[in-house]
Amino acid sequence: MVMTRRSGRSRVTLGLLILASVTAISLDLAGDSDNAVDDLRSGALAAIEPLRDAAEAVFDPVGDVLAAMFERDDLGAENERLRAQLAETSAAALAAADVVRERDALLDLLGLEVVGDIPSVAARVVSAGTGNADVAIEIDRGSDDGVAEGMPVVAAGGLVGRVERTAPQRSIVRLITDGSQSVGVRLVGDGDVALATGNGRGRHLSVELVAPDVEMTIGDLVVTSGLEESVYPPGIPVGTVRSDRLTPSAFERQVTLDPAADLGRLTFVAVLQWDRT
Amino acid sequence: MSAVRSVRTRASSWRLPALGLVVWLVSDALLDGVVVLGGAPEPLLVVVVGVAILAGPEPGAVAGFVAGLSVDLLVLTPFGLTALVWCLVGWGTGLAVDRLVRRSWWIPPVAVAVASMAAVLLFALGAAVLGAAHLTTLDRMSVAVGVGLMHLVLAVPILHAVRWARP
Repeated sequence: MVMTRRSGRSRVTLGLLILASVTAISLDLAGDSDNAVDDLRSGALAAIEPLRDAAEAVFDPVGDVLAAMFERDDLGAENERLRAQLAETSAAALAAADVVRERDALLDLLGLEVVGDIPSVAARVVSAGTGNADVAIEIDRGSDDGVAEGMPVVAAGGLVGRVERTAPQRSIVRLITDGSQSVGVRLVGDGDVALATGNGRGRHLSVELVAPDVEMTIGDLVVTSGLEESVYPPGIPVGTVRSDRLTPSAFERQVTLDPAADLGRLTFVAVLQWDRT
Repeated sequence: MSAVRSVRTRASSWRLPALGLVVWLVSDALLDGVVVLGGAPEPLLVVVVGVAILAGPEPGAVAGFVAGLSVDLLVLTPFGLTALVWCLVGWGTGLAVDRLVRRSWWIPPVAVAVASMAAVLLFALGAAVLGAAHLTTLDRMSVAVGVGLMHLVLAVPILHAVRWARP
């Protein structure tokens, strides 16, 4: 009898908790981009800041060792790859310097913006994201440093993502590999514009709306298009072509990209203080 | 005498939330970047499953809801989804362990691993229902196995801590 009563109460509690969860989900999904849930989340991020800073100060050295242990197998191969890449880049940089000078002069003439001219805030990546579903990173700069929601974030290789939420001294950046993100891109060789969409953490980007007659080869660079209403300024490397094939219907090409920035091992990033208006 | 007991009871009721906060802070600083088979550890989920194993389905569900909602405040996924999934996992684990006739030393850690895998897959299912198709890819199975393995290791110390903190 007691057992049955306890079991009945347990089911009522479960029902109430499910109802509360579903209500929270509905509130979040039904709200606009600036709703109460967003305010609550920004408040929580700010409130937990001091505690996390203290914990990081104590445990970070041990944490770095642990993370390195799990990545050690990849580090040797990556080191080799980076050395080769550095040699190639040094040669390419010499050739590119002249082209860059010419391009900057032309853009100046047309009154257009160059990414290098946009003021930026350097930030350290303090967390690779909470949980297994979030395709985001946390950085140690926030609204106190001039970081605002919607600002583009770049790293040495290229585009990282955009600021999604800010607290006074921390921000959460949604990565371009998040499935809910789309980036307007331009194919460097052909100049055609298309749309790149994320497929989740550690996965490639899919490019849609590529015309069947566009010519491209594996390894071609793809940059942000910077078209009107775009959330990113033009000319930031997004990725390189990883695969390319015609769809059976031959109406468009199925193109995938490897992100230009190494999104799995970000240490420092720059937040571009770019206002799309 | 009763005043002393009242103070003790009040102090012990704070132990579990405090343990949850400490586990989350320590794991955030210590285990950030640790990935096995594509999965990152979520030690707060081990606390939730630990409560379910030691105290039953109802406390497990409440712990899952509170811990999940706290995590939801710090992520970009739909608010309330982690709370829903962890609450169901807490309740389900409590119910399953309650119904076991024979108890062995290996049951709690294995229950933690299985419940953690279920949580990853249930979250992917919830995300699919809400239209987040990118969270339902095939690699979720690998992530679930990775999380299960790591939680199997974390289960022993965390279950000890939960046993101490439980009111």
